[in-house]
Amino acid sequence: MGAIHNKNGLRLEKADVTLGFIPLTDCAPLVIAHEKGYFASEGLNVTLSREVSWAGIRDKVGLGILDGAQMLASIPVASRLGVGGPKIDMVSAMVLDLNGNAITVNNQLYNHLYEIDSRSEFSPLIAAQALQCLIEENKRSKRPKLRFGVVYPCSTQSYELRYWLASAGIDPDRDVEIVVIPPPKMVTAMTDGDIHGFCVGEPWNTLAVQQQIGHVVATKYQLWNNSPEKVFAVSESWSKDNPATHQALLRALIKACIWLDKKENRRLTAKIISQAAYIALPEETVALSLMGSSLKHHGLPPEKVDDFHVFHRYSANFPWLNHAEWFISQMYRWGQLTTPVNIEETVAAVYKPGLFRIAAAALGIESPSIDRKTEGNLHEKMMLTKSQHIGPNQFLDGKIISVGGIIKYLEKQNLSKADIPALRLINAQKEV
Amino acid sequence: MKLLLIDVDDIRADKLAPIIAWTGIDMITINDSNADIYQLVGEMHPEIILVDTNSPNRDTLEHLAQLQKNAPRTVIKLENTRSEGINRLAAEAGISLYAIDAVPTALLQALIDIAIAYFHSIDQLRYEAEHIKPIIEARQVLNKAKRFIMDTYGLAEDQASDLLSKNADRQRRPVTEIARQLLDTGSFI
Repeated sequence: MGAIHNKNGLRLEKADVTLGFIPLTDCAPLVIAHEKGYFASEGLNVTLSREVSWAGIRDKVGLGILDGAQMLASIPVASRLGVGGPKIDMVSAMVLDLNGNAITVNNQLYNHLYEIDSRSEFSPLIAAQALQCLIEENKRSKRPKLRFGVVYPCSTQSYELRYWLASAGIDPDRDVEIVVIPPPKMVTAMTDGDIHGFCVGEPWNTLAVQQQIGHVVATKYQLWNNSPEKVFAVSESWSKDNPATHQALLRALIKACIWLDKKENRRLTAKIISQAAYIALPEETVALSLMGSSLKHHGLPPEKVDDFHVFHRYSANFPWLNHAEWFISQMYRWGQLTTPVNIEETVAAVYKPGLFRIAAAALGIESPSIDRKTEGNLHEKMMLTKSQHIGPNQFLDGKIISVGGIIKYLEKQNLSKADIPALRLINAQKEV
Repeated sequence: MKLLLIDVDDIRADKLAPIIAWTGIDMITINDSNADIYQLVGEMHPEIILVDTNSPNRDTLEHLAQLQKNAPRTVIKLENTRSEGINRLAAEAGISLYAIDAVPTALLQALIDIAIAYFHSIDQLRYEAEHIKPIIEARQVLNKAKRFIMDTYGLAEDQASDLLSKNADRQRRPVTEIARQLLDTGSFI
């Protein structure tokens, strides 16, 4: 095969590329880059492969069956450490979206929470506290544990559910039972009474509310404003063998994300991604959250949340190293990772802000000049004019993580299984 | 030793069954999309799991591996080296492998090798058999036509062959076409 040149005259190592995605609202960047011809204009011939499990996507990228894929932001980090699966060296140079998940509980559980404190309707913190009361009551009456579903053990959703539970002192490993269920089966599992609640990406929460089987008690946005959700990941060796192709993919995906962030394009997005080849659900179900409407309770109008899905603004696509650090902190907190590792080195091997900067610069887009930022210090109300470069970043529990202060933050987390002295020993010189 | 086969369709399962049985491993097939994987693995304690690469149950298997230290876990490398076999097992047979740590690498390697070889050779054989069908058919037509000529004109077999090929040459048409026409119409032209 001869050398393939794209329109900029750059040689692509590989023009035929297969990318994996999971039928979720935030597969949109890949689908839009494909449908709007952004891949094609980079000289790429992309085949999108609909996948059904995160383990499948992870292994296929590791084995080279897929060239790259949409992935939970935590997976490349967990795989580098061999947490919750085999050790696979992957890299991610781009975040595809922020926010987008929610925690839904079934009607019966919601009614209990509402009886205990009616403010559970709008406050995730109070809903968690009400749940804690209910769990104590269940323990006294020797009732079985409540069951919650997540989509993958080391998923953003798993850490979000755990964060919410722990905010009220509920131990996710002792006080409730967490099971893994694939996204398309989540709503059915709730209908069948197999689970009492779940944390999953859209459109499955909206679907549960529309089918009147559950209520949303917290959104990912409320748990940690504008936190990373999906990334575009490739294997490390693939990225080394195909640097120009990787850059071309990144440019196409950034263009798709810019297009996706425009309000006026969201309706069309819903129309495209709800099709049978992608999500295969009614357009109206997919459209709601994309249009900035957070549907939490049936019978009540949806809340206006413009940032329910963020694809580009607030430097969303930049792979912040401190975000990867947060995932590692949660792996330690919940005992998924026990061996102390050098956190700074690990995240720098996985998230590649340098590669992102090259792709962004080629499109004339400015990137942050720093690789890490403080989290938890910017409240919605502090953002006087809606800045395009930085957004609110508050945590549900009001905690702040300073740059280089991940261990200090981890030390303050309740119910933590982390061995702080051992971590300090390896990361000592790094801490501020 | 127990091997659990999850979400692998009958066509592939039937191919695997004889080789697994021959090794003396018990194979249990689960092909029910509503099966409770937590309960199944919890009760059966399989040493090896073969699962469809595209099964939605895979993430649940990952969770089980994390919950229980002795549950089978994903194998994508053997002794820290990338195995071409595992790659081909996923890409060609659409099967992913889970095993408990105690299963020796050599056993896994042998299992992968034989599974791929078997999958490959059966598919190859089927493909080749499919491929040769028109040739077999043509042969049958020729033989029938020769028999027709021999019976009608009282000729020997080589003379019948000669007559067919001469007619084909003269009309610049393939021999099988002439033979088919002869059988259909009783005429060379």
